Amino acid sequence: MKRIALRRLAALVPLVWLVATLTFVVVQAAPGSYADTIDNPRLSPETRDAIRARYGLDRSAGEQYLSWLGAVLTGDLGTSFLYREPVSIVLSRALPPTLLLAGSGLLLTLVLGLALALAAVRHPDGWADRVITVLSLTLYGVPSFWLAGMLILVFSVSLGWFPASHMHSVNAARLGGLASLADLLHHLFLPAICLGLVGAAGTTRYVRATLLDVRASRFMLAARARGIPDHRLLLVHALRPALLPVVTLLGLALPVLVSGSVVIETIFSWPGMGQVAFSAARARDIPLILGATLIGAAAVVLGNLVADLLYAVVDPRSRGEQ
Amino acid sequence: MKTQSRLVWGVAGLGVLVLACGLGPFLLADTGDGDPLHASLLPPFSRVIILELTDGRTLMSPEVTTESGLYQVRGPRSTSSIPSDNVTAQTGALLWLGSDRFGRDVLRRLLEGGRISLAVAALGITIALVVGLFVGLAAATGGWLADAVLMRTVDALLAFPMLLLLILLSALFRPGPVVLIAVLGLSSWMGLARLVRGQVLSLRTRSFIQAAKVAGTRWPRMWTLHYLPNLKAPVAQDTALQMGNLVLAEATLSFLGLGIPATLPSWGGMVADGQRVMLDGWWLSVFPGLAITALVISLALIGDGLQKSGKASA
Repeated sequence: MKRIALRRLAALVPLVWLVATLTFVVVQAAPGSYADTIDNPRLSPETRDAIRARYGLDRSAGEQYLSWLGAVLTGDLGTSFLYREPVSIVLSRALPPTLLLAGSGLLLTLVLGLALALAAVRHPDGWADRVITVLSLTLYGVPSFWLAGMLILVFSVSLGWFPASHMHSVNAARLGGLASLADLLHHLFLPAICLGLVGAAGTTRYVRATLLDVRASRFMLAARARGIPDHRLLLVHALRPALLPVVTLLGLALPVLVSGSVVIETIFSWPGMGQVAFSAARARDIPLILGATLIGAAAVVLGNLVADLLYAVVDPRSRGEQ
Repeated sequence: MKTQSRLVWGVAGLGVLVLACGLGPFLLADTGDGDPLHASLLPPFSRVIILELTDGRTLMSPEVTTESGLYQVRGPRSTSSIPSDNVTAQTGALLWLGSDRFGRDVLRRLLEGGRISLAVAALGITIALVVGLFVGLAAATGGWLADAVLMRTVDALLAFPMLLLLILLSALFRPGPVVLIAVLGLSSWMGLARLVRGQVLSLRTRSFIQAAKVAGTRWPRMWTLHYLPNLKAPVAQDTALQMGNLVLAEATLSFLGLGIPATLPSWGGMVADGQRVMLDGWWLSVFPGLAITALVISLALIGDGLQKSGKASA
């Protein structure tokens, strides 16, 4: 188990390197550089050249790539052009909010998805099942950016229950520990519920279908014949095998969740990786773009690995194949 | 819902959307480019009167009165008086979904944007389908090296947050419609390739494939005559679901201002525009969002309906 994990971990390094290299090629192929994005008409061409030289943008692409790669190997991600700070500091500031948001979204996806699926299959084709089927299908088709706007319109603008943007109130620094936590959760609610609802739609559809399949199997009939009560049949006997594909699904949902939170972060002005990546791409801030992609790819790839390992834990049958 | 009826509902929904976008703009009253002075931000079901002037301009307003040879055209911000000699034609129109900031008919723009969204999705999915089929078939039949290289590439691409890549690419290159279609298509073939490979591998054990091989069938004939016809059902089902994802990806990019250029109407772009003036006109962002939802749901229903076991996939 441990050896498999280590071997898989080692196999991830080339994958992450590949993603970063591809990103580098893409950024180099794109027109314009950081020096061209500075919006100041009084900047003379000579000054722009000087800026280019200062950030090492006058070197050849190969030279820039090798020096970047060499620095990364020693743990140095370079200095952001835009923030004038080490990339590692910019990213370490942006990562916790994203992890918080994506993590809450994932949790809501799981909890809502499983709860709705279980409620639906209690009485297949009953009214609850019909409502949940229609609801999950609708949410599956709803674009997350539109849902976010609607949630803001209803819950922030009309009802005034939740703040429409940012992570803290203006006076958050003066609040005490518990009050500032409450403030954070208050701000977290809408973006997290938005991610969670969209994610839960797919999970519900999937788990409901799997649960219906499992219910029809013979071991369920045998369990029912042994006199096991309905709720136990569903929650213990049917749910366990139905959860297996969910673990794989979560691994696949991770890239979607990371992408989704980029959009949600933009709409809710959430100070996370999405905002950083977005502004970096617009300013042609090469070290920051590369750093953000590197971290994003590593996170997604690691998440997939964890999902795979988790699968081995919950399904003893899959261990033998490795 | 039964599998069969899902397919019926999905096809019906898609058909209605395609027909509405294809024919709708011809059936609607011609509101031209709208009238930002007199008809901006009208709520749904507003009746307007359209005046065509001798100088070629069109004026549009919910309130037009005639007084002693003068047309009084009232709008929220200004009132114009037009001598009746200058008016060549007067028609009425119903703005079913209201008008936007620039006094343009929202329904007309919605249908015109739908054409573009549908075309982008259809062309994108065609690219994905061709690449996915080719890679899947090549991986399954091209020997272990091709299989290893192709499938590890698929794994790597699937592991990457695609939308993030799309955002990065679009922010860097500001693509036109053609590049956008290519980028969307080239980012959504991986699932199909995986599916095709699995299907072909299981087909290869079947006796009719074995027989064809023994008979010395070469690969072009093998692919087109033996594998492809047997891949139709699973591929059609996955294609429908992938197309839904593609529609959402395009809408998201257009919403961020990175997809379809702002000069053309697009559903994602209309949601973005509408959200900027959400308090003045809820209808501006609500209807394009509903249109995207309806399209994606129709495609998902088709996907569900095509699946033989009736098992929904996420």
